[in-house]
Amino acid sequence: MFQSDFFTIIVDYINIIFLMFTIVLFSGYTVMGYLATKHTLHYRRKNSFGDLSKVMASPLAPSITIIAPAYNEGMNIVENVRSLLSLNYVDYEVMVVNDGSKDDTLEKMIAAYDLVKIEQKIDPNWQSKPIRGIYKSKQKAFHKLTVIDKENGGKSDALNTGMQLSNNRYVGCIDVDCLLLPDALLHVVKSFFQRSGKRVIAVGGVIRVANSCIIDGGELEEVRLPKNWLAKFQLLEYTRSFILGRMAWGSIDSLLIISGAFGFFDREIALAAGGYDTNTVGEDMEIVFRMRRYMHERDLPYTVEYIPDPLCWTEVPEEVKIFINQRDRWSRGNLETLTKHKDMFFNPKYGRLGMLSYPYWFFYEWLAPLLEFFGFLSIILFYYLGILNFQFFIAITAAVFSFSVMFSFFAIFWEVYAYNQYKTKDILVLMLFAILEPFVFHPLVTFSAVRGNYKKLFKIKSGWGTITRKGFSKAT
Amino acid sequence: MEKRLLLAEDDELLSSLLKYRLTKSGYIVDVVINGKQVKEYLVENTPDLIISDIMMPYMSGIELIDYVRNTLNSSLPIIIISSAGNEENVLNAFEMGANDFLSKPVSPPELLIRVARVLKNVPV
Amino acid sequence: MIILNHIFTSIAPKIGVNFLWVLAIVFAIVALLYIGITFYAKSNITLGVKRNKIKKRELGPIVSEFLFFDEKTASLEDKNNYVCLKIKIRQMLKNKRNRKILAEVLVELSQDLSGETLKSLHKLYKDLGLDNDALEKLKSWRWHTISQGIVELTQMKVTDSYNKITKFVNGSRGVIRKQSVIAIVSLKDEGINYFLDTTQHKISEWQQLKLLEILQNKKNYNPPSFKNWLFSKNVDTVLFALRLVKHYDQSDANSSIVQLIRHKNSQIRQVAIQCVSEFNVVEARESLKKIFNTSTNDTKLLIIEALESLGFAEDVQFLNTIENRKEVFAVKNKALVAINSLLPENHLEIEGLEDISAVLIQKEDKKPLNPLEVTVTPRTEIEKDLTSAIDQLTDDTDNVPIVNDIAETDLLTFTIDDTIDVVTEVAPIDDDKHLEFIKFLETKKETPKEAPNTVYFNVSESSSTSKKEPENLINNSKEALPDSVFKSLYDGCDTEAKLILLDEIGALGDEKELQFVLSLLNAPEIEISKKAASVKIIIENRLSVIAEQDALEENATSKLINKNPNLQEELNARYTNTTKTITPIKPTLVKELKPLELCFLEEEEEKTEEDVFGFFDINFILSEEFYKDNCN
Repeated sequence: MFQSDFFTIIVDYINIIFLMFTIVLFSGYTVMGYLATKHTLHYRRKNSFGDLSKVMASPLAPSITIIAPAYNEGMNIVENVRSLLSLNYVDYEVMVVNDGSKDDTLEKMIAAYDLVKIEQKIDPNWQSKPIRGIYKSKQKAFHKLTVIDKENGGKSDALNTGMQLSNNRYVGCIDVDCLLLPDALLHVVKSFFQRSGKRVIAVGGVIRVANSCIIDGGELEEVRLPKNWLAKFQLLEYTRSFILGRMAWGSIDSLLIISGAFGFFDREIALAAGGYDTNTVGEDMEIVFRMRRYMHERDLPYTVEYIPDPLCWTEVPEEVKIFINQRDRWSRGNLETLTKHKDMFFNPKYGRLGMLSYPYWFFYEWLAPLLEFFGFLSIILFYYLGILNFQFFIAITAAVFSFSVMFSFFAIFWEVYAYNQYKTKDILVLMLFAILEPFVFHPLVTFSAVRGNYKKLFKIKSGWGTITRKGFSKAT
Repeated sequence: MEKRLLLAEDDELLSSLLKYRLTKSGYIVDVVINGKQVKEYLVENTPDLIISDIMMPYMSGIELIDYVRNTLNSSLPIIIISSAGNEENVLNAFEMGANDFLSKPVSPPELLIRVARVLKNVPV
Repeated sequence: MIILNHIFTSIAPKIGVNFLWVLAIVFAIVALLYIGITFYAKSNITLGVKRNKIKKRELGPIVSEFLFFDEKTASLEDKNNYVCLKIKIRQMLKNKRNRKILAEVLVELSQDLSGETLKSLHKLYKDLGLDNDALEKLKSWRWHTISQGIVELTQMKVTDSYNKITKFVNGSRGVIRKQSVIAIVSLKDEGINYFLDTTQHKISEWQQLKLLEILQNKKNYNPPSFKNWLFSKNVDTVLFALRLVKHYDQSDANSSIVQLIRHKNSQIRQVAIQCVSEFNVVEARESLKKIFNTSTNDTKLLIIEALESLGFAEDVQFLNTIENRKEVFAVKNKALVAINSLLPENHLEIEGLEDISAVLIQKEDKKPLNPLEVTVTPRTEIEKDLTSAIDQLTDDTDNVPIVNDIAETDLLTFTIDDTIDVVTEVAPIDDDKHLEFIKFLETKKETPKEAPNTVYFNVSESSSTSKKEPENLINNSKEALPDSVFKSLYDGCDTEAKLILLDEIGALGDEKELQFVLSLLNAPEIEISKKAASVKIIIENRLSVIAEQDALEENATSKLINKNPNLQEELNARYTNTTKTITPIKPTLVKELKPLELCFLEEEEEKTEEDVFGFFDINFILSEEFYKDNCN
């Protein structure tokens, strides 16, 4: 008899932990929604009368280097680079770093852009994989292009090399297969330049899902909802995380991650902070942590800006296996970064960063999927033990479910309000997917996160997942 | 005979204004708003001159010149309208075979003069 | 155990299942609400866009009609139509929404139009009374409405609103503040003065960029002298003013620039250093070197760049120390590049030159200099200040200082009495101009208040020509310009020696050497012509530095001499497209020109005592048009 009572009590406590967690989650997300709303409205009003177009010819406009690491991208590299070269800005350079591709990436670029090897002195003490050559085009039309050929060292290493070889004030780290809208750099410059009291050390932006969109000659012609189901879920997830999540974090200057697909940095600070960490798969998050710490520890006023305009479009994985690999990698990167900077955890020295952002990442980005997983396991266990509090279980599940649907709908509303790029029918489909998400997509995400953590904690070696590109040129 | 002009410009207000001014000076003006329409238009019509914005959806002014010169193999005169900071593109346009260019913001009287001059220089 | 059990039971909270259900239902209802809002918003947005489009399509032709209506050419029918249209549009404008859309249409069009059409557009805007709406917006309490009003008034160039907008310039709301600054600067030319005078807030880079853009787009704009704001209390004002100084090439601010090199704000420092390169502020060299160690790498790169562009061969020593020190690669590399450009075969070259200077110093210790080789030039105090950057030698006349840097050995100083001696030695030369010079010096000597004039002579030249007979030199100075002393040496050398000689010329040469080097550009040996080309650039750099340095203390017009168009053309025609011009020739370096200059000297002397050295620059006069051209 005693035993049964004891178990009930344990279960009660477990329940209360879950409940607390959920309530904090609810209120957290509600605050997030509020902040995002406020900030979005402010941003839209503020930018309703600015015109960017003429700025690019100004003598005060800063120089930018776009670094695009390429590994086995032979299929689309020429097309992608051409799109990068046709951005609306004067003083910029496109630096493609061929990270020891095994295919014909370099050869294709040499042929298409009439490249020749040039002589340039390289810092002998620079810690990166050896550079095999630096190429420039013979044709004037491609003078913005620089191609670095180096031995394979991973994405971080390639980005670091680009950063080191650039002479420009700002560097942009992007995925070479991303599609940037022509005005992207103008927005970036504006973000870097708008602040007067603080130094803007990094600028991030929204990543939009390009699957099934019509892209021709490096230009986005028509926005369409992805045909693939997995891509649809990801679109929903991106909408939530970029329109609400990052917008909210950005509004209280606590943004801790800038997407590797579209991130711009103040080169001086990025290099001073040590550039990208080559020992993590979550380098895009880690560098923001480090740059923030660098500024914080020196008491320098700084900020990280976030641009909500849809400037960067990327293809998301459409196959489950690839998707799981990607998420697995993300969660490993997350864990690595959090471990590396664990001294920030609830450390008042780091202000909001230590008291708010870090704990959020710890509890809700890293711990939540694990808790969910173990919660799920314990429910099964309790069920077999016959001690599952059915009423409570169903009630809390319903609450969580309707909250998550509500939150997704809220995100969809902002998607419509801010961009209005999808048709009414597509919006309905998205809403349907929001209802299905907790049953289909969310378990997948949780599973990948658990797998990633398991691998990391038990030291199972695993590198970058690869994504098979369908290629924009063929997307039609 | 009245000259027929094709005006390719995505900004509707500007194109309607320019069309008005050109028509007033005795030209027949057809307006299209993007590169795709230019192509469609050129299949059935042969204007005496094309005035095209350099930044257009679906096909840039440069591509348009390339299309006319190399795909259609035509020496149809083309005037490009470019926006500030696009000097490089203007050079490209000339290299591709543009006959003249005009910078944005546009001065309609200037456009008239350039149109007249380009048309005069074209062998009939 | 039982007690424990009891405690647990009592503490263990009872979870309100009902509460959870209520939550779930509330969330579900809110979710449904969102669906409604979403589709409502969507249709609203789509409809609004569509409606505006239709309205604009309707208004477009009407606006065109107004804009291109010409009373002179219009027929009677046209005029009738026009009047009807006017009545129609007035009727339409009674509706507030229509007014708003029409204002939007006009603002949008104003961005794409220029010239006369734009002016008639602005006129139309006012004629229709739309500016009143915009002015009304300024009274709103919502920041974005006020900003919108300001933007509209700016776009439509409603100059009358200037005074109404100035009150926002130091307001507390950031967005309004920024828009109002843009407004006042674009509405009136004096707007920028008002802004720089009064602003107490920070000026973001973006704003600076926008403001400069506005200034650039102004036609017939005559910028104020921005140096007036270089010591403003607002650091951002200083930075912006400095950038404007740089952009508008206002080199009258040079002395302030030198001070700003040590400003505590790193951005100001960096722009100041860039100005040094751009305006050839020679007197900044020492400051640059002093701040070098404490600078960030980016600033270091700029400093090296500046030193390189100033083109003093003696800075190679300093650069060498950088190159050998613990610096990051980029800095070292830049230093190396600079050394190479200052002295084309750096390391070897530098060592070689140092050897020569050592020889020189030894020689100086042994015997007095040959007076026949001395170039005499009197100097005033001003002059002295001017050249102090080049001339690091002391006024101590008894001890000839030990000089490390080769270029500095060009110049040594003597007192006026020595000068006269020297000149009397020169006197036997049968040349009237020299005689006049001596007379001049003697009058100088008679005026007791005159500061002791210092005399320059060219030591290095004497060293390199020491093998020659004195007669040669006299001949040399008798002829007005063409032959370089190096020529005879050069003619008797083999290729390798010629190359070495060319390096020497690079380090020491002046105007006449330049002529000589130019003649070598087409030399049959490739190495020589290559070398000659690089030496040419070095000499040109130095000469232009000296020339510009002279110009510094002169008034605005004489400054322009450096940019004499005729000379530029001539030079371009003669050799490369080099942008640097060789102009007012520094007498301390070009001794053969002295007699000619004396004519000018005398003229100047009659006018004013202080200005006695204005003749250095008097060679050219520049039209105002040219000044404008150069500024744009």
